[in-house]
Amino acid sequence: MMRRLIQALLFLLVAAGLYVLPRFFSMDYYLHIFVMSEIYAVLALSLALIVGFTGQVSMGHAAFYGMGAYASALLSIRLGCSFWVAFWLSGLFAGCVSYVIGRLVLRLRGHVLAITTAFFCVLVTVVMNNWIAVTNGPMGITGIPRPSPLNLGLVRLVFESRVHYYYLGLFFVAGVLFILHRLVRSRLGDAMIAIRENEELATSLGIDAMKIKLLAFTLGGAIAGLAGSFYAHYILFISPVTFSMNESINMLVMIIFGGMSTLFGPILGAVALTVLPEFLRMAGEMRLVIYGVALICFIIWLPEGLWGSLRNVLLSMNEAKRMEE
Amino acid sequence: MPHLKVESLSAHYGRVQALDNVSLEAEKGSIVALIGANGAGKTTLMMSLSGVLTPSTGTIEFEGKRLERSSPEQIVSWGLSHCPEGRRVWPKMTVLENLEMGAISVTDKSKVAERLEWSFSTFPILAERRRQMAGSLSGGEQQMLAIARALMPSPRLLMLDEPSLGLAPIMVEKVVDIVREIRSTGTTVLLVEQNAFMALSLSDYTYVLETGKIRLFGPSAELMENDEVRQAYLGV
Ligand SMILES: Nc1ncnc2c1ncn2[C@@H]1O[C@H](COP(=O)(O)OP(=O)(O)OP(=O)(O)O)[C@@H](O)[C@H]1O
Ligand SMILES: [Mg+2]
Repeated sequence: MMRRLIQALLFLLVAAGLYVLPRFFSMDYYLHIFVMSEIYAVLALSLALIVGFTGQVSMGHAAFYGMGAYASALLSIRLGCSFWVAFWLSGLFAGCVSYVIGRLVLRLRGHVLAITTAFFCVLVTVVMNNWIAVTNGPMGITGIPRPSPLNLGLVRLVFESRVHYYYLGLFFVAGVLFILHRLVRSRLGDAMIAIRENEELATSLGIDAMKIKLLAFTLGGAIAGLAGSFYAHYILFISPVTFSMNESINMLVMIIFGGMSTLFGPILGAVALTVLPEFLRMAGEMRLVIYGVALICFIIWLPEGLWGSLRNVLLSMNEAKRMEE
Repeated sequence: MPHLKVESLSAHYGRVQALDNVSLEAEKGSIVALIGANGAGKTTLMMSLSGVLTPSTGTIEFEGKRLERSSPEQIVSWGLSHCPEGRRVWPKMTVLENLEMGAISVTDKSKVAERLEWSFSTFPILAERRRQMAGSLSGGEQQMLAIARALMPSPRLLMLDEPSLGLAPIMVEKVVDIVREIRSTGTTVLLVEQNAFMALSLSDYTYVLETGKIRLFGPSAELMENDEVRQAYLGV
């Protein structure tokens, strides 16, 4: 009861904090970092579902992000779809492609799977660069329309300013978080962890590993596609470089950093690794070195990521307290 | 009609043939043992029965249903459960979570609670350790947990792959007791063992597997007296 109350209060506090944040950081520069943090939070969450919960290392996540962005841009420019339709269609599109790819590659294990998905990501970039009639090649696509105004009763979002993207992004992150939370707490979520920990054992107990892995991969890909759509209609310009393998690795680094077998970890990692590089800007070229060293340190000393490790410490402190009582 | 009937089953790993025309039967409520040297194909046979591996030819009939093309989760839901060899528990999950995972095919929540209750009364050690990580249990306790977990969906046929492997004699005794108890509830048990003496003395019927083929079979008491078995598997 008390716990419930504290949780509700905490939730309200966080919600209020996020609501007033733009009042204190109203410069476009800050708002841009916030919106990008939201997009990366969604991407990191969806990748964590595949890598963290189900244990299937994918280096191709940026491909689904990119496909969502291109699908959405083309749907709205060529076919005149409104963002609100293109958004869902591009998620559906990315989900369908990731279902097909998943069917083909999820039989593979460990580093073979990682390399194959990386290859897929490269392939998608090659297509984006060379299928000029559709994608306009390396020049990218310009003139992507902004979302049409949205009436939410109390507030009206018009997407002329970044603040409005920020608020829409909050709903986006919250929605994804809600769905994934329900999923990982369900029997399907248990099955995912069982597969990550020992796939043979899971199969012999009657868990259909392929089905569960495919579910995680498809849903993860679909959510990445939605994030791509949001990105396209926010930046209003897309080109292949944004969705390269580097971006896949960037997302992996985020979930390694934050901790990938929780839902809070990926958000923490995404926000930290979107905000930190801005601070590190002054370090210039040294930035990449700092990044690399930090990553190695994490993998060695904090394999469960920042949040995962912190949670372990808290849990064991709690346990110790219970023992004393 | 036998409870389980396997006819001319063959299985391959790529080009390697691991099972060659294997036929076997198990009566309802009996304990059937499967013995054989390393690499004879015992595990392969169990995996074919539980649907983890699809056999290349042959049929498997369980309670009148054909299983050879069914998926593992279908087979579990039809009442056939598998306690695999090797790494048998999820070390980073608690004892309770491991057990719940065994009942993942059971949709009825009250049924799961009932089975948990039963597990804890049959395996008191697991009740004591329910919140402990499975990886921190002793080898014998982990084996108990694996058996209890395989029993969670209330199977009518239980397959145990080398349950005595790596256990001290006293724990082996315990496993024997448990297998007898499981049988006394009417469950058929298919037991794979390297420990031929234990297998022969515990089971009603025994099959001897050699490089993928059934070499010998018969009532366990008879095989116990068979010269070939005595020399090759009992070392006397
Ligand atoms: N995944 C695999 N890929 C290729 N060959 C395999 C595989 N698993 C088993 N085999 C081969 O199939 C044959 C039967 O193996 P199986 O594991 O069924 O034997 P077993 O009787 O269970 O042996 P053990 O007593 O050592 O557990 C062996 O020759 C083995 O090398
Ligand atoms: Mg074996």
